Amino acid sequence: MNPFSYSKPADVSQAVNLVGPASRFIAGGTNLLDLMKENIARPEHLIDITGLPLKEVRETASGGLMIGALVSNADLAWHPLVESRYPLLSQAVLAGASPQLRNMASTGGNLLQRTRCYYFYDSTVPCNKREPGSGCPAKDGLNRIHAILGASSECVATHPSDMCVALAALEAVVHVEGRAGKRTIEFADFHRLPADAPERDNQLADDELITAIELPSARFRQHSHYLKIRDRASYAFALVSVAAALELDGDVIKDVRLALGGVAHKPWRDKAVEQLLKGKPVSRENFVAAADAMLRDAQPLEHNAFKIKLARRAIVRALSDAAVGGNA
Amino acid sequence: MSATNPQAFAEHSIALTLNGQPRQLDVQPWTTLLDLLREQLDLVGTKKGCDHGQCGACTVLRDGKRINACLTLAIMCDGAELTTIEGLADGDALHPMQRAFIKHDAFQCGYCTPGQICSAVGLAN
Repeated sequence: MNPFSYSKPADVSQAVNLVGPASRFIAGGTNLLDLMKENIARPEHLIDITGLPLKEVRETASGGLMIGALVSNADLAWHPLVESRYPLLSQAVLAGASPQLRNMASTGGNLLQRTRCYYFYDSTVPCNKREPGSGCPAKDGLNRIHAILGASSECVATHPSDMCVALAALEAVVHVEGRAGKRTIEFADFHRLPADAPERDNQLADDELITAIELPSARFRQHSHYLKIRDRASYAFALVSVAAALELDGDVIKDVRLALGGVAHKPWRDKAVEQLLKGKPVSRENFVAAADAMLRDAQPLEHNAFKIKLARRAIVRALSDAAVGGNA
Repeated sequence: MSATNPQAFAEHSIALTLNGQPRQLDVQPWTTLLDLLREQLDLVGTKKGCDHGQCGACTVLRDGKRINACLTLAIMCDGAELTTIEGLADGDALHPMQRAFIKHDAFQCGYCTPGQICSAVGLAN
């Protein structure tokens, strides 16, 4: 780890005014310190934001929840209002990392996790995300864990978060604050596809800090399911994950949300596919059609074609489990 | 705040409670809690395994909750209440979790046992 200086501001405006070109915010530190130990991240100054008043979960006037950016992953997953109203989010959070890491990692930081692409983490090889313009060895290399949707010739990395897949399905809103003031970003717009600038994971400006994640009022509590498929049953990143949520009228689908993890540079959602399902009855046939539509544009690399088949089956299973309750 | 300014890298003073004892410590910003415990305080019960938050051998309790000491900066523990494996026993009386590990022979090679015990205590908390 390189030497760096340190400061601990007491409020958000102080924090965003401390930001310089080589500084980084730190909260849980579970990803940033790991990247610093690998010399992938080399900040000259760390701004410790754990003293900021962003640790509350509160109900909003519109019946949703406002989750402070510093709420730990563990506190979020086990929060009574999250467990009872947004079980999809609790399930997704608990599917990730380990209990130790979930006690440390923050809600805001979860959104800012970097990819776990092996080449990104190996500073002895090129990587367009780490060193823009240097090349992408993953494209023709060991790419079993890489993207099948939305990738570019510059980058085939995937976003590693489970929480974010649920937040995409729930249409969360990201509240941020920078030197120019506050703004909100729809979750679907927060993360970027790699295109020709894979070094940029999201739409945050350098001086902007995530202050809260807002959830709209809960409509899917009875019929949602987070299904994570990985190489072992605990403490592994998703090969494919599915956040499925249904609003049913009898067995007719009034509304549906479907998001995939482990397959793209961001949580993958396709509103046209959700539209296909609306007004249709719950049936395996309809779920298979949705899965096929979701994966129509999937492009396999040499070692990850299995993900297309796996995602197809996982979508059908997650929707089926959601339809019958699914919160196990 | 410039990194080229040596003053910026000065040690910071932190106050915390470690295994029940109030401590005042000077730490460099980049010192992890794990290195503080092992290198500066000679509390070597907490083990360095992967040093990347994966193995859990460095698990300690911060404010009663289990965390990875290797991915925690010591400087960010200012004001915290920390318990390591050395702080679980009450004098010669082992913590019930330590007794349970011995009774049920819950060891592998033993290297990461302190982390496992702290993690189990965190679970029970």
